[in-house]
Amino acid sequence: MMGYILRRLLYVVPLVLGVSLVVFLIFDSGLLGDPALSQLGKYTTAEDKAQLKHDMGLDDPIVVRYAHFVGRIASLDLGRSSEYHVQVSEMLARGIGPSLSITLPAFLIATTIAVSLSLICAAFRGGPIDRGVLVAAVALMSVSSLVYIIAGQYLLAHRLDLFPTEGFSRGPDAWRFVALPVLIFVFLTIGPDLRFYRTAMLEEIKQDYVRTARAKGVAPSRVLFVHVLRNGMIPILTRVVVELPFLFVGSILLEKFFNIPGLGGITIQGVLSNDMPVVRAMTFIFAILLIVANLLTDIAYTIADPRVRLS
Amino acid sequence: MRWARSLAVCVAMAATGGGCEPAVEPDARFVATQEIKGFDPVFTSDSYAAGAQKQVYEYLVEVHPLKRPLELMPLLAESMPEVSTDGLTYTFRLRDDAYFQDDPCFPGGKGRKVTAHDFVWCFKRLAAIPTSVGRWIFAGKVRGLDDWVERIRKPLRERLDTVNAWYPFEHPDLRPIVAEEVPGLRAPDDRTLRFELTQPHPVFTWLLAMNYGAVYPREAVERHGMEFLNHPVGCGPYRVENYFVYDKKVVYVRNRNWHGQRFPSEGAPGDREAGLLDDAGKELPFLDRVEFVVVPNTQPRWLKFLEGDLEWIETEKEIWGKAMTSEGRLTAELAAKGVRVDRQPRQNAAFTGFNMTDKVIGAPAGDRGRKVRQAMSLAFDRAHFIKVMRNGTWAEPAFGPIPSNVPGYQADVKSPYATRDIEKAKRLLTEAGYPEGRGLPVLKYEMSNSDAVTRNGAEIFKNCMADAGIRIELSSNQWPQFISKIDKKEAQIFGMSWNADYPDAENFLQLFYGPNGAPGSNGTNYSNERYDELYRRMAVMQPGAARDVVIREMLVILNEDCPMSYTDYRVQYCFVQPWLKNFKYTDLDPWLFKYCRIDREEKERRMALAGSRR
Amino acid sequence: MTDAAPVVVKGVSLWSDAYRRLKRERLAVVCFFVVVAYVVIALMAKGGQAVNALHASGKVGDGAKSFADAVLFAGYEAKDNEQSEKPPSLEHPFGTNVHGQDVLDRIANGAGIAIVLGMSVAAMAVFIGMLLGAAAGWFGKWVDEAVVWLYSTVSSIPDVMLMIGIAFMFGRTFTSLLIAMSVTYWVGVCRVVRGEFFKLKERDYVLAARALGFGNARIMFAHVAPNVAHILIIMFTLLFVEAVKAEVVLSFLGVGLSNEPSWGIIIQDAENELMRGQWWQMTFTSVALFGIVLALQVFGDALRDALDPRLRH
Repeated sequence: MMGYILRRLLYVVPLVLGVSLVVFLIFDSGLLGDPALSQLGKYTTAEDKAQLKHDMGLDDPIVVRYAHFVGRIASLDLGRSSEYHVQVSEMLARGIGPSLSITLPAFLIATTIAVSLSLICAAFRGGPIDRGVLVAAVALMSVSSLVYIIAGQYLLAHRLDLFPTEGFSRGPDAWRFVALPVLIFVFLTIGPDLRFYRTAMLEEIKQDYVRTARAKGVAPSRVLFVHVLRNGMIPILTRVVVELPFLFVGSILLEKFFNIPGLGGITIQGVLSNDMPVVRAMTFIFAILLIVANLLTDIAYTIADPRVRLS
Repeated sequence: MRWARSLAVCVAMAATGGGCEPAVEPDARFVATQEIKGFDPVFTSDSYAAGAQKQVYEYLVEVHPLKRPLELMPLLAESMPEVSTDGLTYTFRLRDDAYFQDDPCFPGGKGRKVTAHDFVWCFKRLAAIPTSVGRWIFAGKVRGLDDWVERIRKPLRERLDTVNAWYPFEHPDLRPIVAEEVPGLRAPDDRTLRFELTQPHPVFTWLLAMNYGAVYPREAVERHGMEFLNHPVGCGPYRVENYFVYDKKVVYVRNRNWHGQRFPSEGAPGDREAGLLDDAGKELPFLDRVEFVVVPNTQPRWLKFLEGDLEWIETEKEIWGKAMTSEGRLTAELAAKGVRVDRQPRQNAAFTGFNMTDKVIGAPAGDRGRKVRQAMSLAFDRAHFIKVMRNGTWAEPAFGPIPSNVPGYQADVKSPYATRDIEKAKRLLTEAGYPEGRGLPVLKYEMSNSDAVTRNGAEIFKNCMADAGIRIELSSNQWPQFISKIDKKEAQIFGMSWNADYPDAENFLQLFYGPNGAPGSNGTNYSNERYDELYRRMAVMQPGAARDVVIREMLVILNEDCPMSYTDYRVQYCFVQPWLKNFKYTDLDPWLFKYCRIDREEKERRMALAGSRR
Repeated sequence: MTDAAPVVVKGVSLWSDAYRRLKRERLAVVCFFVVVAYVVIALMAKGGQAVNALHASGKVGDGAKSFADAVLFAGYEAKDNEQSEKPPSLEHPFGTNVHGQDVLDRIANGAGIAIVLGMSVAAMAVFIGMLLGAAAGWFGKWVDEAVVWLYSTVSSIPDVMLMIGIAFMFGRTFTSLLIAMSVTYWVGVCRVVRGEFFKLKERDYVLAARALGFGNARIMFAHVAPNVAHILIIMFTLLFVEAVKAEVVLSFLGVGLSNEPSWGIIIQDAENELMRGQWWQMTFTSVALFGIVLALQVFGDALRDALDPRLRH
């Protein structure tokens, strides 16, 4: 077991190398803007530019630049944003709170609703309730995220004045600003969640033990909530764990629209302003979180189901 | 160990949710539309950062808040500088009562006196650091400075912190070389600052009023280093209580060490009637606690203004229809709220630039290229553009590169290609060998941004060109990519505008000076020997009739060569809450809080009224 | 998924079986025809564009142009400064935009872009995913390691970021979006195909083919591939939906298309107009987008149920 975990952790190395290579190739291409220039202002000369590039090592051969890039990741020093000159680590530290304050409640709400509804669907599978819920889920999924956000901001916040249009507060009144983004996030994620959990529950309900329990005269509700739900927890947990890294990164669109100082907003701003240190840090952290989450899922699987051999 | 510390910071900050502070209602709230990029004047050039800094730092001179045309007045200098007759020596005498704000960087935490040596140190820092965005204000102008910069560059670059892209000017090893005397930038005593220029520079004093001209104590940079941009230490009317770039706001509180100032008692004609001189002679500032908030999206910004959360707001295409009627009066809703309109011409020229190095439309295409450029300029419908993009009101059509309210503007020299004339455009195209646009490749128009407003403006250009048979393909960019394309001379046609750094024609004419070509400010890469010669001559001339003659000749050359199609000159419309007093939009310094006063009673009355109506 | 379910023998009967099943799903049939209608509109709009281009270069006369304007939604670029921002009317059933351009024509052209892009992206992604997944599953060993490394790498970068980055790199044209999305979306296909190939290569008929001395390529494509075809079709519809949705978001963010009236571009315009009380562009574009996505989703679900008996209940 330990050997397996260790091996999986070591797999981080080629993966981070791969991620860094892709990110490096995209952002070093010079096609997104010249990192040296954005620092020099509007009165620049070609010599200044060349000199700065030389100082920053931007005119080194591409292999050397990539080595530097990886070296920066390995040193775990995230450096400073080239756009705002502040420490990336501090940006991240301040951004986690706002991001989680939206994604975490939204995630909990969406998962709770989705799991409950999936159980109901499983109980009444094939019936009008099941079909109705399913159609609703598909309809919710079919609305563009942009439409949710624009309609939410325009109708709920602007016309009906139920929420502030945008903004964020770190104080006790934060919930007012968070409410609408959370609501939209729930609407965005509940459809796919529901469909996934429903399928998982249906898989369980077909199993022999359910038939056996029924045959033994166990009450249907007990079969559903105790037996099926408990066994269905494995796919549920898997999905939850895999979704966790995304919670940290926040929702890029929501944060941009609602002017929330979270990691999603920082990421998209970093990408759009070609802020290499920020992009590097965000991709690196996301990759690590994803790998850890996948590892946790695998371990959870082995504990839950000894038939799965770790190899 | 550095990462361990930053990790610890991460954990601590995450645990506390980034620090919850109790919400204290400020006296006033002003708004910026983009992130404020910190308080180090050496690294920030955008107007919001400059606006944020100018509350904290002070300068030798500042722009008079009321007088028009814009005028300078002394701030940390006792009076305007004494300029030698040859125009080469500027001597400033500093006021005696300026102290820095209290800060832990000083012994005992007590702010010390501001001296001329502080200016010398700050200006040397501005000139020496290779990534400084304000270096140009002294480069090539101050005697001996460039040589000194050459000397300090090597040791400075050797100590570059590549991880943070930081040239440690404050490094102890560099102190001897920093202390070396530069003949053109000296402090003979604590209260005297003397500049010696290499050649006359009529706008030199204006440069010192820009945000680059700030004075700050070396102790602050030595203590905070790179974090100086989050911990400004100045001698202005306010100090920053709380700031981090992604907090979306800067909280200012009054600096009790400030030397004090009185509200000016003179203004432009009409100011007295408008009540702008009611506070003449009163002690500044009026506000104790001010917030500068960042609201990038237009609609929320407008709603916040309507709710009384913001003291004033600039107009934009999207909000105009809600604020003004088609007759150019305030809507009933705003009029009932008592909102006031402040209208001020800006020192801003919008244009569509043509890349002069391009094979089809640039200088290599010779006469044909010029005719295509002229045809495009003729086909462009400025009136329609202003109607759609500026709501027909807040801009005037441009006939040349210099906005009409900038000193040196020549009313009688108008580009013959700046009025729409499709027939003539088609004729020129035919002469260029592209009858009805046939044979002319699809031209690529680079947009400076990717938002809908920028694109709508570009679409108007595209549609106008289609009328003449010229096909345009639009390409959207993010700002860094846009700038990079221009700097690499890859942008064929691009839409842009130029904000004056100082109110003088020279600032607009240098946009076409050959040696300023990309990556410099001459984005069109226009190059004309005669023009360059005239530019060099006019740059050192005092404003006046003789200079006007030179400018006129330059304009004629430009208009004929047509390296850009002039679009419009912006007129600023600001909507001002009835309780905000003394506000007058000053193009170079629009956000100075120290002059603003909030009439609390008026505000409470209005807010109560709005509340009851709701 | 861990226990080996009894193998359903798949063959030609699968397809006719699936077709029969699909036909019984009324809703799915309706949705199929909705998608077909969109495709027809898209093709008409593309035809209109072609006529526009021919007209601009003088190859066809004004008659063809006015026919295209009237029938083929080709008037999307025709500005009319007097008709700026007019609400729906008989002449302009969906109203006009800021330049007086007909919103219906623009939405139809947007459908053209969305559908052509969606199909191309889905096809590309399925193709790449199929090729790499098959290779990984079939050859195993280092090939498998390499492919798994590649898709783990790609999926470790947030989708939006990868797409924006690549779309940026290639200059934000149709092609750049196509590349960006294909590079992002092949991963899911690859995973599934790899798993299937792993399973299928141990099957008797494969072993038999091998014993007969058939080459790798022949067995892979002639014998194994038909058995994963249904998965590819399901993936294709899923990715089609994803690509249509992603194009809208990317163009809206200003990193997608910029020269053509894609739905993202129209919504970007419409957001500002909504503030001025002009609801028509926003509403009609949202509905158009909702319609195709919903139809594709429902049809895709039915298709999956029909084609993949394991997921049936």
